[in-house]
Amino acid sequence: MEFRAGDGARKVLMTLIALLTVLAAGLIGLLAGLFSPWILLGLIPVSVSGLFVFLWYPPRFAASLSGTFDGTAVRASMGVIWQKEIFVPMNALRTFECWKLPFHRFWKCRTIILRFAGGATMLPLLREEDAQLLVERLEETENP
Amino acid sequence: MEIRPYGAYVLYDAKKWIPLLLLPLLRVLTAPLVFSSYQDISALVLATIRDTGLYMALVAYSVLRWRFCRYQLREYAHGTLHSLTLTKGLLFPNSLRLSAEDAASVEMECTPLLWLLGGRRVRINTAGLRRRSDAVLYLSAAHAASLMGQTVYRRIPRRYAARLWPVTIMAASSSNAALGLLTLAPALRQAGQIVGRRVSDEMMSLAGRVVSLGLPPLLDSLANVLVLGWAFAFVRNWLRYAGFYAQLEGSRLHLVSGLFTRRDVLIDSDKITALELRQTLFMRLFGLYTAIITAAGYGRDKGTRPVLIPAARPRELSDALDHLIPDYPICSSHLRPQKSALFRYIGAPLWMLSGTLLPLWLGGVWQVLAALWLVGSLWWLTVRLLGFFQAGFGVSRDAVSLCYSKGLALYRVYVPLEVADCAMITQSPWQKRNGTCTVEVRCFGEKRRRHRVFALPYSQALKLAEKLLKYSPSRYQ
Repeated sequence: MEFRAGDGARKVLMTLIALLTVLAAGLIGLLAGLFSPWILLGLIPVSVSGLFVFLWYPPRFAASLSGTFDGTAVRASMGVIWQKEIFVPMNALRTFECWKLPFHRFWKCRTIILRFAGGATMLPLLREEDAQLLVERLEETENP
Repeated sequence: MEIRPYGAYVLYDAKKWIPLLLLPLLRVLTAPLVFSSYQDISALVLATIRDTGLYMALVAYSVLRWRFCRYQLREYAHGTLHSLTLTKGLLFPNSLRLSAEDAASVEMECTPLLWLLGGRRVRINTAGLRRRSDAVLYLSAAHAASLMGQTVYRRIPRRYAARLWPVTIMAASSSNAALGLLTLAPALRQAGQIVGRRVSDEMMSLAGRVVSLGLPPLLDSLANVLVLGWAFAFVRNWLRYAGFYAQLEGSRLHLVSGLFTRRDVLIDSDKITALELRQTLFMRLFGLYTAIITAAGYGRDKGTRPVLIPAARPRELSDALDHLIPDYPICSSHLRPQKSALFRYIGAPLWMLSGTLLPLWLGGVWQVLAALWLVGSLWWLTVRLLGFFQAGFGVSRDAVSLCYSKGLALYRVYVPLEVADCAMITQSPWQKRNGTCTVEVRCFGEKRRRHRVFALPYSQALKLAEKLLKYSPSRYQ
């Protein structure tokens, strides 16, 4: 089976970036109130970079995340600037988790965490139906 | 069989209250600043008695904890250990049950104090992810020996004993920082002399004269502290590994180390998840390697290093490994970094090397700093250069191997394929341009170490990662 990030991932990332930009702007306003109004000039680079990242990053990340599960291993690749490819053999997998945070539920996506003895790796913001299918396939392979 | 903890338990349990004894001491030291009359001094004495009383009450609490602590050993009919139940706690009693089969490692420690008291400390670890040992027992020497004996399946032992001169060299170079300090100390002395002379020549003010008098002894003392620090590290490491020996007992490795504090460690050889050959630059001059294992359940306590062979030359190392872990899989690291990626390895030390120009240009006392900086940078550059020529990644039907440099040491790591949990290939934007990548392999380890090789050819690394998945034994087929 194949899995990938859908439109939900793009929306979640856009929301998170927007929230972070607003928080950074709020912090700048706070500092300006405390020290000097000149600090408000910092809003210009923060807003411009925030807007750029808001428009540029989410669709590219959503397009970059894809993977496969063939019953023996999970393969996934992701990343826009730093690209990462992950190979987890099924025999190494100890547990897996499926996260459904409020944003995830609203935009129909899920984050899957694969845990093995040496640590864990994350498959973030997968499409809801892909994530459910992956969880089912992983369960089937573990308990045939 | 039920056993009470050995009396030494009280001493080790009460140790945590010792800082409280500082309170009366601090009070006495600060008394002249606060108190003036005889009445105040009597208050001071009363307060000191109260503090000491509190300390004695806490020691009494430790004694009560000892009274209520129990170890229950259950044995099979044929006499081998089945399980251990540890009951402890006075205010919050709890019990812990450990099955002998689950014990991944057992460590018996005999410090000089325990030796005097005739006791032993036994640490039992399972393969779970915990920060400390699962159980720490204080037993008499006889009980501890009996427990260690019961957990060992005895057969003809194959023994490896560390030779003294490699251990001495390893102890001298085990801390690269310590070696750095040795070079730093004479430089500091020289700097002290130069500063003293120059400041007294150039500064005629009173402050300048004070500085010229005070700086040389200050830097000299600092140099002495550094040399003493290195000597301390050397003696500590030498005492830890002199007289080290290891033997294979059935399916378990028995490691014995330490001259003053004797440690007997039993490790289930099936639980070894990685074999690491470590070499510092100083050890490379003598052709020595240190073999370190990563084993589930061993090495989680602070200060414990799962060393299998402290220092040995390749032939001795190979013989010892054949005896100690005969079936351990290894393979060659045939995938090498691209030649064009040399700068990825030596870039940072070269930048550091170029930094010597600034103190050289400033001249005077800064020249000493420049010399130090130069030595440090060249040292790092040499390690990185050797790391580049040694670096590699390989996958066979049984094992994964990774060779890389980290910090100031070179590593060769062998991971059995069945415990290689995850392979990650990362490409940064500039790696994408020259078609290289970073390969990381994760396996279980108490210290959560990451094994990474930089600047490998991307397409071939990808093929090897696929090979790793292909050969990985599946539980589900």
